[in-house]
Amino acid sequence: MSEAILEVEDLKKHFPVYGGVLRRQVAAVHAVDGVSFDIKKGETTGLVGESGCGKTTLGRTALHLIKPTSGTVRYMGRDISKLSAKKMRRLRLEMAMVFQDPYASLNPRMTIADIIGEPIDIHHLAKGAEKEKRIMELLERVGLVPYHLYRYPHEFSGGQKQRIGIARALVGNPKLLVADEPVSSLDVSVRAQILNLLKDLQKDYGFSCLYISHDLSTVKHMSNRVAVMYVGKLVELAPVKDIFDAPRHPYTRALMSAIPVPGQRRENRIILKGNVPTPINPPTGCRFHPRCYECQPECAKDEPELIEVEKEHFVACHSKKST
Amino acid sequence: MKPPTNGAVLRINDLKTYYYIAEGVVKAIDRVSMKINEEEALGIVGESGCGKSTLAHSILRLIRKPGKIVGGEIWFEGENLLRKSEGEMRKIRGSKIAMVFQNPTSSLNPVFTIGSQIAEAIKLHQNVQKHEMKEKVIDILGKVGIASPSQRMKDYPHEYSGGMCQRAMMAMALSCNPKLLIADEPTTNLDVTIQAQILDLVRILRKEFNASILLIGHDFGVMSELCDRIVVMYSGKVVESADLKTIFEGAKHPYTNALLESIPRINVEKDRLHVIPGDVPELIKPPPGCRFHPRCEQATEACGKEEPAIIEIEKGHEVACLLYN
Amino acid sequence: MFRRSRRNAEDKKEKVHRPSRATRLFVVLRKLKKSEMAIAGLGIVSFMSMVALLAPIIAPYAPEWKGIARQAPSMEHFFGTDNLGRDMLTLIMHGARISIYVGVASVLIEVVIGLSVGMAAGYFGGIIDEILMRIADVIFTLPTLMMLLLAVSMFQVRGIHIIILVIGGLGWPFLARVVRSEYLSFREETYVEAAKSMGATSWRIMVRHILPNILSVVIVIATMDIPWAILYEATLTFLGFGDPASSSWGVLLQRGEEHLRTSWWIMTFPGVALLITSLGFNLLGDGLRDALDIKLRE
Repeated sequence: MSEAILEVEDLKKHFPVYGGVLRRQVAAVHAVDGVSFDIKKGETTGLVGESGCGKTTLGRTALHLIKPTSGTVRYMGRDISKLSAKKMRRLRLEMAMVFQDPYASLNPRMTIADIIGEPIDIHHLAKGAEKEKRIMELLERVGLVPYHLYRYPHEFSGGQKQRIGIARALVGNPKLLVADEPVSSLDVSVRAQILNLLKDLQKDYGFSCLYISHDLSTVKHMSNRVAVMYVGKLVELAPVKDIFDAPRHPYTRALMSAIPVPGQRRENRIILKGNVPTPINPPTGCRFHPRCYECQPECAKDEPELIEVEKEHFVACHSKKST
Repeated sequence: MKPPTNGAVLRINDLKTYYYIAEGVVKAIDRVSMKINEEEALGIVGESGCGKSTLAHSILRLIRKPGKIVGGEIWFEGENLLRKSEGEMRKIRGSKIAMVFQNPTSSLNPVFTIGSQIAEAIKLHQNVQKHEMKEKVIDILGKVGIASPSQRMKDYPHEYSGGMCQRAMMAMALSCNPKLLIADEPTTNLDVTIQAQILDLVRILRKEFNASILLIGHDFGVMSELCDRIVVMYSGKVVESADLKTIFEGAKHPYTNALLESIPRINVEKDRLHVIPGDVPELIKPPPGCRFHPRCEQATEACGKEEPAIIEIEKGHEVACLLYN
Repeated sequence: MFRRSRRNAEDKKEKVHRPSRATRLFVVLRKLKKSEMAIAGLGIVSFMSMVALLAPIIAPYAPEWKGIARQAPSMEHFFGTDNLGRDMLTLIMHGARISIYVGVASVLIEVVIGLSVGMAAGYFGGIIDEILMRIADVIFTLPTLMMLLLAVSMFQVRGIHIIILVIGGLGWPFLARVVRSEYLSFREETYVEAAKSMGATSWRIMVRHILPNILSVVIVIATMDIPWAILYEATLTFLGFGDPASSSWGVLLQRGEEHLRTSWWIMTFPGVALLITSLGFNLLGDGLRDALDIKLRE
């Protein structure tokens, strides 16, 4: 039983909505509304959900890039909200992030050497020739030729830029890597390069990974465990095989049946009615109940808890069929 | 002379669309040919820069400076669309050939109600009296699955979700019973469950309206849901075209196969994905000979010199590769 | 096109092209050299500065020398004489000393204050933004002249340096607003978020990430404000807050206005001097702005 690198407990993040003449808070966006899970050492936990489910906010709140409204985030057992600003800054070497848009995540006015060298400078890890050596090693690690060190981002392709972003994240030998849709902005033929790279690097460096994506096929390829979010809450959390082969929550089942498979025409799809609700005014009780095809009377009143129905398989649902 | 369509709704011959920019000439579409049969759904698959979007715009003659259609023919209903005047094209757009775009919310005018926009589309091509118009709009909104259409027609685009906007766009496109519906990445920006709804809708509408469909995208899964035939494009050229089954089970072009191997699939377990080395080439300076050869594992020396012609290796299956010459 | 890494002897042999800090400066200078605009601007500014610097030596007459009043331009007096008989060319040359100094110095002060205020307000937002912007609004909306007068009258000392301090100290709100709105938008950039995620301090982000992106805007505004500063100085001197004997271009312009119908040269030539200098600064500013843009390859 490996120890947990990251433990998230009842995490909530609400964004205020201001309105009216006096600009008072009139409502709140319940982006993340009570999420608990953990990521074990060396593991990749996939985080999936559709737009508005809160997965992006969850990723950033877990890294304390956004301050949570309530709840705790523990990194290696320590509550990171209790850390001093200085200690938190130091910790950022170990908790790194790879962003979705490779074009936007690199400062266009900085050379590659500056970009990758920035964490080295911020944390005073190396100087001069030693620093340059480290940068070149990292570039080689991510599959780039190191001698274009002093070029600018716009001289590289999307896939190469993403490699640079990954190299930058690896500077501090991170123990946790949060990857927010790392291949969504890339051409299809380039995605495999980056996905393979991430897997290889994980083997070499041994970091845990929180892999956020809306593309279920890549999540299946990359993750050991998968967490499914819906309007700010976790509805299911299970090992990857179970999520895809034997999903239990009605939403997860609908999600899985909705995925188009190359070469097949799916019969008996579960087509959900209606739209994804807005996180400003989520439905009462179970958030999925208005669209749920197994809705019970109590679903509109009580919010279901996330309970372990099988080993390591958690579901939040009232329906007998899913539990 | 017999119109060279032969039962096909649309036939493209040797189309060339170039963009003239400061750095040089971008051959976005370089001698592309294909046809769409009656009531058939054809899918065009390709990555960024392959020319698929340019193709859609070329068919509807929506190419603006610095782009220009410089050669080829597009035969529709016995006439060459490239020879038509702008006025004649306007009569065709929206009525005989309709198009649905990638970003539904930004394709709709934010200051007009959905109902008025659909009514405008109908008014442009049909002679409908005022009192009949409302009925028609409600009818078509209902057909595309918008609940309570009589109320929702008074809403503005920002009050509609992404999926609903896409439905509204389809309502506009189908309102005049087109022969050909072009859908350019219609579900790319939609959530998975909404995408499933829209694909389902398109299937239903296809039966009801008897239109041919040209579906453009980069997701093989979405293509599999709707299309009968698939054309694979790369860097401005067609590399392979065949029916759905053949593409997935017996594709011949190295790019098609490599692409299929490299995408992670729900139903296939793989530790490592097959990698296509290198990057998609820049169209300003495409590689000489076969455009895919720098990244192709089976490339020979000849591939860098000679551009492969499209050859029919079996009935209904065409490939552009020197391996099969 | 960039090749992927292959363990190739060829690759290993190629050396890293390692430009030092100095080289990057040279790249900017090289680009400046190529821009005709920048050369013209630099030329004009250098020329005027040289004239200002060497005025006491190269001026044809002494500034106090008085000859025949209101002489039209002639061989002895290229730009004529003013209403008191002083040689215009001499006055303009000496005026350059004051005007260019005032122009550049006050704009420098304005830029320092405006940048700092705008940065803080735009990046941090919240209460800091509110307070700073309210101050800026007050200074911005009150009539400039009134503010200038009020400020200058608060100080007992007279002289050019007070004027410079006042012009710069009251001229920053517009720049601050522009800088603030730039920071508001740039702080949302993904690469700023990336910097935060690796532990960058706010200072580092403001100065190393965002500032280089907004320099071009600042340069444009600064070069446009130089002529304004020169004119404000004239007003203040005229109203008695500067050295009454000063012959800055602004003062010359004001003096010349009275005699425009009879002796047009008293106002025209200082005006032309001001015009050309402003043009020079503007061109230089544009050239600098383009030279700083890394996307424009040589």
